[in-house]
Amino acid sequence: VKKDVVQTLVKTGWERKLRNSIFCKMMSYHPPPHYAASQEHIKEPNSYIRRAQANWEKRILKSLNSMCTELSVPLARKRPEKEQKDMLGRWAELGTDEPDLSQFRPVYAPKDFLEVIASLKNPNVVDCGDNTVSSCAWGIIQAPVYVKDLHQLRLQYSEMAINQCQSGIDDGPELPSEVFEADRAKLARKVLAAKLAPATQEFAKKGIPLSHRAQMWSQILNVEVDDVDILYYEQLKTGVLQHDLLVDSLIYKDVKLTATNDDQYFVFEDYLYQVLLPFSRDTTILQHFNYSSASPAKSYIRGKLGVDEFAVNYPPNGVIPFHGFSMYVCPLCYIYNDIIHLYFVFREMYNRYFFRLHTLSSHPQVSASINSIMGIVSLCLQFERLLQTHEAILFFHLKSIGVQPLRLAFKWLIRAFSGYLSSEQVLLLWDRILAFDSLEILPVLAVAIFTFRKTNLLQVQTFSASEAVLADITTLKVIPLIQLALFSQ
Amino acid sequence: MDKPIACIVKSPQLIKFGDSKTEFNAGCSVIDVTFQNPVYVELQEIHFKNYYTASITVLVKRKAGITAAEKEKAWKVCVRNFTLMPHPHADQGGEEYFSIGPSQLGGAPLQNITALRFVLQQPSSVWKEFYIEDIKLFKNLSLTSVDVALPTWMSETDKNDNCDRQLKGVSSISQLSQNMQNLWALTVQTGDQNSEGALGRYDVDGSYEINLLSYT
Repeated sequence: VKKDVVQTLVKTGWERKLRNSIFCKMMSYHPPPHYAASQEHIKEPNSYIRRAQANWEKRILKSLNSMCTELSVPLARKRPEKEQKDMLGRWAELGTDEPDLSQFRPVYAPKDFLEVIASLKNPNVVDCGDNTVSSCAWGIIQAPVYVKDLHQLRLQYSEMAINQCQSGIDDGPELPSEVFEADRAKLARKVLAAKLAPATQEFAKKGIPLSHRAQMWSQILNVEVDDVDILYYEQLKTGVLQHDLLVDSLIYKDVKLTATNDDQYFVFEDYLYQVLLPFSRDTTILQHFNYSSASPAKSYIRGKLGVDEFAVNYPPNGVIPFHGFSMYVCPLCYIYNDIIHLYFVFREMYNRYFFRLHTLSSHPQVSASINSIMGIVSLCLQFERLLQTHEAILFFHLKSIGVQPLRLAFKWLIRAFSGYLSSEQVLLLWDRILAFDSLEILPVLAVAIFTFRKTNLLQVQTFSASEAVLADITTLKVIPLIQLALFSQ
Repeated sequence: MDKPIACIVKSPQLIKFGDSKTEFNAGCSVIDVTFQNPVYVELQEIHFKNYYTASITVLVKRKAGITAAEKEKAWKVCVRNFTLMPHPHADQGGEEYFSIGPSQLGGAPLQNITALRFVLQQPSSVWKEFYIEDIKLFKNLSLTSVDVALPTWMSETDKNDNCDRQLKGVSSISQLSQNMQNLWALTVQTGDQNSEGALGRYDVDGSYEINLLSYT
């Protein structure tokens, strides 16, 4: 019986599915916590970061509440029948309607969040006064988190070495396709046929050819849209139609401010609403709060204040969008034209990576070696350390004219470069995030860009001038830059 | 879970060099643990919460032995340089909970202990202070180590694997039923999970009307 079962499993392809889902579980595996650890300790072991995150959330909460009272709009209300029908009719073209949003403002911008990160301070760290201890860095990040040095990064990203052919460089139109492209495409088909997530991930380390990206990404993220998923999406859509949330206006505002003004992404405006509005109703997103230092905002149904049975999370997915949030979705619109597929891929990407870019966290727990995706604090420090070590002259120049490099680079990091690079380059970069299951490539690229524009940066004397030097990076090719930063010295 | 063994934990003593004017911190401190009753204690597990200690060494003092050599060596190292913070300059592991179990203590439970000494080390000068707190000693294994075991159906199938090979394909009825039961358990489990995933209601009784966020 057992053999039969195993054989049928293999024959029907279920074995692969099982393997993939186990692999997927392992990627997000968290070792059982110590029995004595409290709930909040599991979320974030270091108490100073926990406090900072709680304060930050309180600030967001206050600003949301004050916006509500100022504009006298409720956080959530039920839509009348007529409005529901009306909205359903316009579902595919939500962008055409122009609600008056002049009163709304984004709850926070990356700049505000950077201030919070920069003010993080471990109370147990010896104050170094002015310049007594050498460990005082030049940068603004003071939290003593662990970051890798260049050598360790080089080992980690060894597949990206200059002597190895990469998609994104060696498949350019100026090169004959037989050199690399044809072989790569052949291998890609083979990998896709195997339907194994780890194999796909391995393949992606050298980049994914454009035509195969959609399939490969869903394979790595283990996203397969079936009937249940379609139903689930429809349910979320009903949720959008039934209730009007303040967060919706924030999403509208954000899309109008960012994506609609971007000549690469404005065409996807309607797609963005169809992903982001249901996303705000998706309660499965709440799961990530179990292992991040953040907690969702709480509220009570109107008239039931303080009654526990009527306590709800707000918004339902617990994520309050900030200025630029929609940029996490934009590049994906180039890959998937099916909304539902797009939605589930985005959701998985958010659950694995993006939430870490806007919540405070120290680092993975000591024992969690499998799941070691760094948080934004580590990424910031990594950027500063790399720049200070390998571009000391540049860092010193910028510092002496009163420009902190991180203030220039932070907006790139928090959006994972989306909206700053050309969309094709963002996708090539995100290939590597998925392939290496790590966000550490982001600071590496940021340093690479600084190095690339070094000559100009060394001549500037003001913050705005240095900002101008780095304003347009859409022409850059990311992969050669990363190679330059990692492997040239 | 068993009650921890009653003991007296003294406050950490920082080891310093030099006289009071020029003294400097050696990055090392000692915590002594003594037991209330003059009974010789048996020990299997040590639990504590770290506060920025990089590594720890545990020494035990046993009931004086009979031979001269044993008497001479009153303190014996049972755990040497157990790493708590993999990178002493970074705060990883700085506020983590730890257990030192039988595998680190050398397999067998430690017997006839009269005193215990923790030597804490922190080579990095970044930290203002370092110690460990919430020290608890256990005679028996705690639940935590039991938790890690595989679910029974997984280990059972392993056993069946061996039997299969012995019987060369001819499986007894009991095995057959066991296999079927495992399968059935699996399907039930997946079924359970599916229903969990599909439900994602955020409203209470169809209502989701909210005015303001609550501050608690």
